Amino acid sequence: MAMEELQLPLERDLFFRSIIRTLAGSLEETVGPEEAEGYVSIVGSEIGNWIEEKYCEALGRDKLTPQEVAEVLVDLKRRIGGEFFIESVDDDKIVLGNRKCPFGDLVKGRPSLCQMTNNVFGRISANQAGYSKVDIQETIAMGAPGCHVVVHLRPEPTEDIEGHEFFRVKGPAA
Amino acid sequence: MGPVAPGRTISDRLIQALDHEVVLLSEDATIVDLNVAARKTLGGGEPGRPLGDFADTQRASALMTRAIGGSVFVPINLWLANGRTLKMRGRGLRDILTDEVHLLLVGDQRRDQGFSRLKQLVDELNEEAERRSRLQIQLQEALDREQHMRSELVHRVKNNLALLVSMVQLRGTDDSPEVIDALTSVRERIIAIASVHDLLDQSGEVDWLDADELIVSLCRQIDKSLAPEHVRIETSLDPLRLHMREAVPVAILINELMTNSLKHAFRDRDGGCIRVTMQVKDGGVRIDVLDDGSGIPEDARQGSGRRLSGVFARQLHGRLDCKSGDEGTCWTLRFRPRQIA
Repeated sequence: MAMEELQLPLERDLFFRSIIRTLAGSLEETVGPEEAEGYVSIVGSEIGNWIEEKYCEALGRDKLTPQEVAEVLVDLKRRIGGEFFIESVDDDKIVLGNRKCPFGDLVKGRPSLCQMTNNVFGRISANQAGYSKVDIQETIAMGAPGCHVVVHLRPEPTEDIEGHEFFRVKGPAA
Repeated sequence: MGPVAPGRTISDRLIQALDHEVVLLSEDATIVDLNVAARKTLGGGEPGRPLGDFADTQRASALMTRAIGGSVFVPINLWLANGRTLKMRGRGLRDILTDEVHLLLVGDQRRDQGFSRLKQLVDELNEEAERRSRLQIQLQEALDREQHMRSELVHRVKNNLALLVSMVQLRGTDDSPEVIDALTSVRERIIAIASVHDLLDQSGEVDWLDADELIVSLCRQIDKSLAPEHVRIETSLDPLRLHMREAVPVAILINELMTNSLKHAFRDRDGGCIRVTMQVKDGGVRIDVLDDGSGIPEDARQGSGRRLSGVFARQLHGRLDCKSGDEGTCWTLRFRPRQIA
């Protein structure tokens, strides 16, 4: 049988997903999950800025409502193979559910990959609302049947809510 | 670190006492506060002065901007004016009173220890792989030398056996028929052993050979040297690889059985046939040597040749059976090769 006729579970998308999964795993094992989170957040933040810029360009405006931000988050995941959906939206928070991870089964046991979602959602939301805190309450990566994500759009005075904060700042690079 | 508040609280004093550098910067990289360790490492510094006076903030600005945008600590390197590189972690910190966001930098010289350890492990693994690779080359060279020596040995044994056959062939003019008969038997046995070495030498191998090829070669040799014209020799053989330790007794045994048939089975007959078959099934081997001659009388079944055949059958941990009658004789050897190629 010729090589090209072999039935193998190997194609471009799976190849790149496997690379990212392996890189995330190597990073977790090399520097520990917390330090790995720092590296992933740099990438996630960068990707978040880039995606937000593309949606704003396509929509022809810079300012989005919380409902539109929620739709952007769901749509960007849909485009890369996820199945996120809006549970609720108001000025204080966006609540999203998810049935399918873009990384597929490869996400299982690799929670650092969720930091990509965390940082992309957090960056886009903070750029639009001025502030965000992403609380990923359930994840497929940790064995749940789906994901449950709450994106807070206003700082809580007590800071009791779990999650990573994101701020809209110019920073020294501006 | 909690919300930034004016005045020196216990937590401020704690931060001052830390031996890790702690620096709080405004969004434009102006120092808001720093502890003693940071002042010492930076070579100065006070609130209100730009960090750029003490470190290359341009070089770190992209990561500082990423860091201030969120509450996750990210790795940042600061290249100091004194030439040192300060490894730090940085994150955004919102002042809940003023809603301003600051960049908190905390020194952590052990930050990339995991990478250093990994690099060390990779270096060690590379060294070990290199050492094993060298060892493998040495082993391969030793193996090649040994293979060459064994091939040479097979070749020399083959030549010596050929020499021995030639010596046995030299008969005196007054040799009696019994002497000639005995020498012929010896010669055929040596040829049977030589066939094994000949085949090994031809195929460049030292241990394994094709038993079917060996039997064909043996039959051809016997046909040429012993068989009268009116006796045909036929073969039907399954392919089989055998170790030479088993190939030698198989060759001698077949030689004995065929020689006996040729000597006794076709006396006073116009024609005849000897057929050698080999079947391989379920890891077992069955070799039949049949002739359509006159059969073996009961009292002639225990000659020296046949005793020898029994010895080789036992050497193969096999069984040798004989059926003989007016229709001819069938010898059946059954054995299970101990070593499989």
